[in-house]
Amino acid sequence: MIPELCRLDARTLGERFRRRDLSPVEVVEAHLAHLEATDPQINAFITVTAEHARERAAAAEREFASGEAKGPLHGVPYAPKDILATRGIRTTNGSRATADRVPDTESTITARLNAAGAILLGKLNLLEFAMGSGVLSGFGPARNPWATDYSPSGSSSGSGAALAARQVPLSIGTDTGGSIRGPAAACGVVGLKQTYGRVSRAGVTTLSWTLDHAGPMTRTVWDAAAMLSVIAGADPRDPTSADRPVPDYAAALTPEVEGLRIGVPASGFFELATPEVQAAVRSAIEILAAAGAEVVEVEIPHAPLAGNAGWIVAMAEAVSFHEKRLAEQPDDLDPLVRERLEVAKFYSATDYLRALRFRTLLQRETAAVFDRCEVMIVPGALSPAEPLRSAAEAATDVRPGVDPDRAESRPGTTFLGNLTGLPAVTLPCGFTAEAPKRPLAMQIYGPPFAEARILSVAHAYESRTAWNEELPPL
Amino acid sequence: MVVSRRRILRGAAAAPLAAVTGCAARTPDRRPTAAALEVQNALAARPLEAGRLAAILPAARLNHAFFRPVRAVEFPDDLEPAVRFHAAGSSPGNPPEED
Repeated sequence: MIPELCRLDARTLGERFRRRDLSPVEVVEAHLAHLEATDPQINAFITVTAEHARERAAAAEREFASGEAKGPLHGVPYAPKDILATRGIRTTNGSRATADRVPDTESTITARLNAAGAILLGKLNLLEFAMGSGVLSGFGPARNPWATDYSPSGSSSGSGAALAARQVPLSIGTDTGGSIRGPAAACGVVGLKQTYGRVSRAGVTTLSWTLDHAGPMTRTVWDAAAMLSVIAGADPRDPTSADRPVPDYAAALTPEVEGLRIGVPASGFFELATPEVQAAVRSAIEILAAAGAEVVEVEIPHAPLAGNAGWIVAMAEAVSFHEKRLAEQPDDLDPLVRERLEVAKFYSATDYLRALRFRTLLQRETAAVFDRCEVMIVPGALSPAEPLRSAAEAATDVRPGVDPDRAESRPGTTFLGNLTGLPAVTLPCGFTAEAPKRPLAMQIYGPPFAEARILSVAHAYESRTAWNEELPPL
Repeated sequence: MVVSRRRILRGAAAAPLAAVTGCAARTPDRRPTAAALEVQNALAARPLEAGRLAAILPAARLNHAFFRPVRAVEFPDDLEPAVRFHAAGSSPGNPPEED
């Protein structure tokens, strides 16, 4: 049974703290007790910072008592994926190779959350270095709270699982090919991959410099919007961060969609998904259409190859970043991480540059789409959560009985956002009919820096439904 | 144990060009071979141990197959590699208030 205090979203917690009818100390204690009771089943946390959280909660209580409220996240617990550096607190990357690393720097994101008064509750499990198997990674697999024999997807596996299990109301994930949005879809929570450059990557362990994003994972759209306003903005430590004003995204949310043009791809997305996913996402679009939105058919001719091209970019950059570690600590790596890095050593510069030219092609095609519509809606994932793989299956990308020379496809709906840098938010839009009950999800894309718009459309849908109020069977 | 570059290059001299080019092949139906990986490995800054090459060959072929359809895409001459990872500026779909 999930305790009442752990069911509250960040917005409600913050409002009640400021009204002084709830104490951050009570809330931190409730979450610590709940995660202690549930994490043996879920394995979402790598590190629990209980004493740190208690101290920060007591400080927050004093600040509220003296009228020093800092903003909407003040006093609210959060837990980032354990790939964000936290000064003096170990940052493992989910790997035996860096299991004991204690950074002396702080990621910009966690520094900004801490400055906003949010309270670090711990560090969350992940697929090793954001690219491992999730099964053979250094700290074992996180499990999906909706069905613990199933995967929460990855690579922000612990973030998705902890949010769904109500172990923490706010998290930060990272997304290089879909690693925020995949777990959000599999676990029935909200995941935002904002525009490349909107949020600093400083202090986030690299997978791919040109594809990596770190962004909010939450249970409601309002919480993601509030979190984005705290973490976004230029950062001298990240030369790719965008020097643009940061709006109050939560204040800008509106449930109105009258006149909004929703692009729906005629091909390349829906037909790849299971019939149940297709039906759930089309039903979500109908709800928005009934509220006054207009549906426009669009086409991104090369979108089906986004995963193929993105994989080359991601792994070529990954092996460049991890080259020394691969040479010196190969046995400390998840076998799948090792295989992927070793294979990437044999990519050619010509192929890498071809993939970068392909990115330009996709940027042109998506720019043409957003000349015709304000947002584009596609499935959040092609299927609901899948069973956790066996150790043997998880050790390699080569599937038994599949001729590797004929495996020409990496289908998906998320890599498009990483290759183009476009913002996208994933949120729940249903559940499977078949047991075990698992979430289904939609994904809303927008043009560059249109986070306010995609979050508003997500909020409009969320305010007309109640999927995020369903609780997993814990 | 890393195979010596001299040995590899001696072997490669007798190998068909298609095998030597491996991953970097120019035609879509080439695929990585053990010989091609050995040549590339011998030239790498931090070569893999020779025993790893056989272990990763199926995955190397898989990756090669993944990329084959991207190799088949015809690019216009003015299509340059992306150096910005989001589109710059406003567009009709992105009004100024959101910038």
